[in-house]
Amino acid sequence: MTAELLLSMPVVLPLASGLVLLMGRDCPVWQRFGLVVATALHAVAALALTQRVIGDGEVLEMALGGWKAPVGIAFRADILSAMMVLVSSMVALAGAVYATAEIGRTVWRRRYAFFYLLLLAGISGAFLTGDLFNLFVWFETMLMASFALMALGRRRRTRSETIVYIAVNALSSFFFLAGLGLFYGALGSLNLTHIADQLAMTGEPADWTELYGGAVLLLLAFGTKAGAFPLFFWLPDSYPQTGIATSAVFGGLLTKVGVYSLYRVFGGTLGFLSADWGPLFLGVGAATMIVGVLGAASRAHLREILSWHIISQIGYLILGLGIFTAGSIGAGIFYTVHHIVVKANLFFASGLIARAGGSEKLAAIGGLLRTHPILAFLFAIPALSLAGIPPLSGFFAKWLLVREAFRAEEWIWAGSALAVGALTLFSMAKIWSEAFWKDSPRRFFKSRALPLVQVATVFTLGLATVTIGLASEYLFHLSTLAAGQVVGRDPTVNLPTTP
Amino acid sequence: MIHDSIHPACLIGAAFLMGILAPLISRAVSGWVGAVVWGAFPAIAFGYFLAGIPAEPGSVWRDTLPWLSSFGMDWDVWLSPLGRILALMVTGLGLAIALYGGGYFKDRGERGRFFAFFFVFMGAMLGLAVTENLLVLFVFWELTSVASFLLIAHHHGLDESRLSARDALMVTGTGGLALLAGILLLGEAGGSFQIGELAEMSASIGAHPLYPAIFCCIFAGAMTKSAQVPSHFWLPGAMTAPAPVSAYLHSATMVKAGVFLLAILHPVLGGTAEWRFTLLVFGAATMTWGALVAMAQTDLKRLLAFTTLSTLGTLTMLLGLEQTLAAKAVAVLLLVHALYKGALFLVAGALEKATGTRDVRRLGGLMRTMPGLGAAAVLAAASMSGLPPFIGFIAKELVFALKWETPVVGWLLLACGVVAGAANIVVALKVGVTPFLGGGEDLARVEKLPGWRLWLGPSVLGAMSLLLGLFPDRLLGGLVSGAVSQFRAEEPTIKLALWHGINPPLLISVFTFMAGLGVYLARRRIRSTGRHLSERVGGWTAQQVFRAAFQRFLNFAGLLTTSARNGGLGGIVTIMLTVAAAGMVWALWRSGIEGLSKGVSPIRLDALVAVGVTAVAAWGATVARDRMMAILSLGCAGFGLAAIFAVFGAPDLAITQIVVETLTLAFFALAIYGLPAMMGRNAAACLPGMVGKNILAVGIGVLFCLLTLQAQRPDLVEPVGREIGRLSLPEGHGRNVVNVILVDFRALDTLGEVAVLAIAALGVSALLGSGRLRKEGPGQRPVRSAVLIASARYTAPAMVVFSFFLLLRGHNEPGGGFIGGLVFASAAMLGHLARFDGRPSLLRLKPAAAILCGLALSAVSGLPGLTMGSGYLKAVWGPELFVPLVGAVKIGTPLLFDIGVYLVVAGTVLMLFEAMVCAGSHRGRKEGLWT
Repeated sequence: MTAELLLSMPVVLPLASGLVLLMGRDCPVWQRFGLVVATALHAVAALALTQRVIGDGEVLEMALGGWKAPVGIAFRADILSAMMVLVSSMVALAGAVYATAEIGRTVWRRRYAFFYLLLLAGISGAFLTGDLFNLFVWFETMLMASFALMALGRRRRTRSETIVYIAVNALSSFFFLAGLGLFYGALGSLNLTHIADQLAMTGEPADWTELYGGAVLLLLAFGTKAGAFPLFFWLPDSYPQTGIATSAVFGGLLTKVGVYSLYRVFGGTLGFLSADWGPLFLGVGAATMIVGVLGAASRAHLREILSWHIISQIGYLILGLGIFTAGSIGAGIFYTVHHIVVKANLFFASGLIARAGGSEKLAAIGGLLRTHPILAFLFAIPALSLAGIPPLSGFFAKWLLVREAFRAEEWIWAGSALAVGALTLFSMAKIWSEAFWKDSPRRFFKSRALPLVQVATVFTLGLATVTIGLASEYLFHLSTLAAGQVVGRDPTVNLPTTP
Repeated sequence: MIHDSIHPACLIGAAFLMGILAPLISRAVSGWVGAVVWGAFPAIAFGYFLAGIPAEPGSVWRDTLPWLSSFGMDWDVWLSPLGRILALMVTGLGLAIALYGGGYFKDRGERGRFFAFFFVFMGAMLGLAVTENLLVLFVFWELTSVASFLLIAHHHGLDESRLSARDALMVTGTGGLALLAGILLLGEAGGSFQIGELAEMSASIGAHPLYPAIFCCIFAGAMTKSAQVPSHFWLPGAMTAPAPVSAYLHSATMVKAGVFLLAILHPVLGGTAEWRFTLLVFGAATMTWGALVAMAQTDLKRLLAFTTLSTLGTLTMLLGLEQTLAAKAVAVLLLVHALYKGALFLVAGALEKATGTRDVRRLGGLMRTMPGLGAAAVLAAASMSGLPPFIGFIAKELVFALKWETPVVGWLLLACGVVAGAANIVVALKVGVTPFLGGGEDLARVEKLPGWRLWLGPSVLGAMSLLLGLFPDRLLGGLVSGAVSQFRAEEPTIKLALWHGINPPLLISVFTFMAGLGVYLARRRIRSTGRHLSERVGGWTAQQVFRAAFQRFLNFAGLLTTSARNGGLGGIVTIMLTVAAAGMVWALWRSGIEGLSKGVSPIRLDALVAVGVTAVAAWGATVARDRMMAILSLGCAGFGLAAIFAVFGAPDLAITQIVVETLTLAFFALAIYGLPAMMGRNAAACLPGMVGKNILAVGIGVLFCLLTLQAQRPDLVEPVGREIGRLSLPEGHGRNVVNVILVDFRALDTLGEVAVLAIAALGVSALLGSGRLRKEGPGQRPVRSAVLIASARYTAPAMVVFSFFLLLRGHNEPGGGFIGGLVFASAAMLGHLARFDGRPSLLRLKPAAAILCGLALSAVSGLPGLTMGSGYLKAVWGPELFVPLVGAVKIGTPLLFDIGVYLVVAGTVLMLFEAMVCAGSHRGRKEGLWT
């Protein structure tokens, strides 16, 4: 298959199928079926792309409209992009399957499938583009689609949270646009590779302090998207208000697009800033990590806990960028992949818990170990993984990151990463203890059966977590290669050989 | 050797498999068969490790299973002498517990749950015993913590159970993370994770600057696991677990893991002052504190738990003494303690089952009814008290002898040791003897006699204590000398014997025994003193302090994380803008502001006027109290902006800005319909806050301005824009560069943004509730203005034609699909507002259909390029066509693309309009305004 086809399919397929699903919205069966098929097709496209990029070790490039960069827009898929597209497609497929048993007729009628697929198109586009303005466009696509999805899943008190969500994100879009305007003013180009080349050509980083203004604005934009300290306050209130499938996809993917952009732009294109900016990222990462876990530890609502944990984990990812060795960025990429799967799965599982127990408030549920032992097991896998219990994927993610921090002699940050791990363990234990162990506070409680497709979704993602844990060596190998490509120079760590 | 034919890893795998199958097995079997099934695995494993004892004491069996080689995480399996001792304890005790557990848990589900975690734990402990690679060892270490968590809260309906489980997990989990840090640092310092390799480097590790950190981290891990003061409190708390769990995890095996780790790491980390000092202090403190508290307890299991603490302290202290004799004592004491303490816990469990209480004051005279259990208890208690000829005697003599020979601190340790020994005797008497032989009033009655399984296990363990005491050297000599050689890397000949003649240790023993007996006899008085003391101390036990502090911490965390969002949207935006301002100031400061002037062009009067109008209007919008005024001011600012665009030669932008501004005004007017005309002041807004926000707003503006000035570097790079300008006509077939960029150079961006528009329109209609336009409603009422109606009758169709004109000529002159779509939508809205009859059918465009078709058209227009192999959205051009009024129009896919944009934009605006009119009409009807 041509590179053009491989690169455009992850964006074009969901876009086209979204348009098709605009029709026949009065028929939920068609919408459900269509959404699952469309996401499955996207997964196939992502697999084909990954196979080419990782299997054949090729960096695919495409000049859209036949205009060579920097005149036109370039799509580019290196290992990082391919990995992210693949993981996203998995989570999106899982979400689509899960949604079939969750979303009701009216919401399908209101074009849930269309928004979902456009969100997916936006996410894929963001991972594949090599152009800063185009990235902005995909950010906008994601923002609007996520806003619509959030509005669709809303509960009674959601409207104000939705407004906060859109207002904050619009402000961050403004920062983004202003930042890239400044970039264009200084560099005359928006193509990431082109910018990097120009910077490399002119040599001295000291010449480019003019870029700091634009870089600061981009940092604000990406930081807000990613949910970094102190720009995350929109996140933990808005995510729990949406539907389960939606919040799982949001929780798994949206913030990670922000992190991806940070890695891509600040790790790659503007990598030369790292000496100056590293401490900033370290500080922000640690603060994000700590504040996030404090929020999680003090909440007593399933998805609020999980949402705060998103923030906390984002801190780890930013830390990986702040240490700025190829190893640490590789560890960060590994962490991202692990985290996407685990976090989405936890959201899915929390949906099942809420369904089985009848509420999302920990105080109002209990006794599920007796009634739903399988669910307990399925929840335990991602929960333990998030908490970093070996030999699940989270352990390796955390360990690799901490190892890199130690190697870079960033003792304090390594220590705080570990300390945050202890509190993560606590809040997972809290959910377990309250939802599964405690007797149900309701006198007459009839537990409900769980939809099989949803249980199967959680099971499959759990399996993926275990697989990532077992195949961690290979995945880390890939991540380090990806980091090498992102950073664009020889990785400073010894790469493992491909098993 | 047996390990060559059957790999130890198989055993661990089998244990995990048993754990997974346990719930099923539990459902299938019970009674005799059950006992055989549950006991089979531990028995086989015990035999396996026994059979593998090498003829030569110090030899180690090693093997490496490749796993994660590049992480340094190959599974290096070894059977070291210490590991073998631990494995024998785990499997031997495991056998007793498996038998016991089958009888203890009557409910099948409960039994299944217990055995599931039990076998997983056993597998993890075996893994710990046979793993040489520290990272893999850590995997098993954490697994034991998790299994312990799950087992402690076996009775998970009880709040106390869950709290205790949480405490245990938090303490051991935190310690585990410290251990991980220590292992990682050790790996960095020593270049390996394998204990054998590290031991060869021990000299350099000891001198490494990281050594103190490594040691502290690893000791923290070991300390929490082995419940050393002050992290000891989780262990007594863990007594909420059922008796078999306490016997197995919290006395015999898991809590020994910390001591075990220190012992196997002694060749790597030992021999330093830090090692000696830390271990002696913590060990002695734990030993003494556990003993003192134990004497005042009345609960069977707490009595045992505190003496377990004391013994763990003793073990740590012995490791700190670092002598050959100490190693010998550690090895013996590990085994001895497991035997008697395991047995006594099982007895305590059986007593609780039989009588329903664990209070020693209410137990007595049970020997007649439960002779088997009594015998087991007495045997174990004798060993615990250190009476000859039990193995406990040997252990105690060893410890005393060691302290006697230790210079300087020996006396202090000896004093502590006497306290610990006395406490052991008191507790042994209380648990092992009083319930069976003692008397008293208000005794609990036996409700149900325990079955054979409940006394068989403890009896065997008790008998073992006797047997080992009688033939110590024959049975244990090999194991112990192996352990000593592993600990000290020398090969002394170790002899274990019961009788050494009358020597100081024996005399100390006798004295200790007398002291213990005395305390036991005076137990009532001591208890009341103890209670008095504990009342004095109030709620300041370590457990309560931990729980209170943790709760405080959580409250603080909650407060911290809710405070920021209390400001609502305004607060969040303020935070964001403040951060942005700080960042921009930093950027300016870093780059210096001397280069600011380079981008400044001469000031022009027309531009100045436009900027002035915009600024004043924007300021007016912020201070207006009247909604309509605010909207009009905003609109005015927008028009000012359009003027600025026009002044600087961007007619496309200017036209678009004007149309957008007009439409926005209309939408705002619809949106505020039904709201009160005046805006209320925010009651919470105070003057300083307002001033601050104003400063922030102005500051952001100034900063943006400065940054824009500064970021211009036309001297260094050639902007891509120039290249695009050159290519526009020859390659893009258009003179209007803006439009060529939109539909050709960067068509993908446009496609994305068009999709954004579509999503926005459909999203808003979903949010506001879609519906067809109704007859009534604010936007629906015929406007009475004759002028508007009359003019709209002619202007609307003209605008439609104009929109086509804009669309077609856009490629060469200012215009294009975007503007055209906006103009069309304005025409349709105008037609709707004026609502004249017989409006052209063109204006009855269905928005959703237009959006769908437009988006599809734009997307499809990129396909020809893809099929021709030159990439998606590659322009394919056809012939040139002459259109009246417009001129020559080049036919090609970009034109199709632009038509798609036109449709989406028109559809979007109309859809928003419909949605808002409908929402307005609903609201109007609800409020009774439009009846």
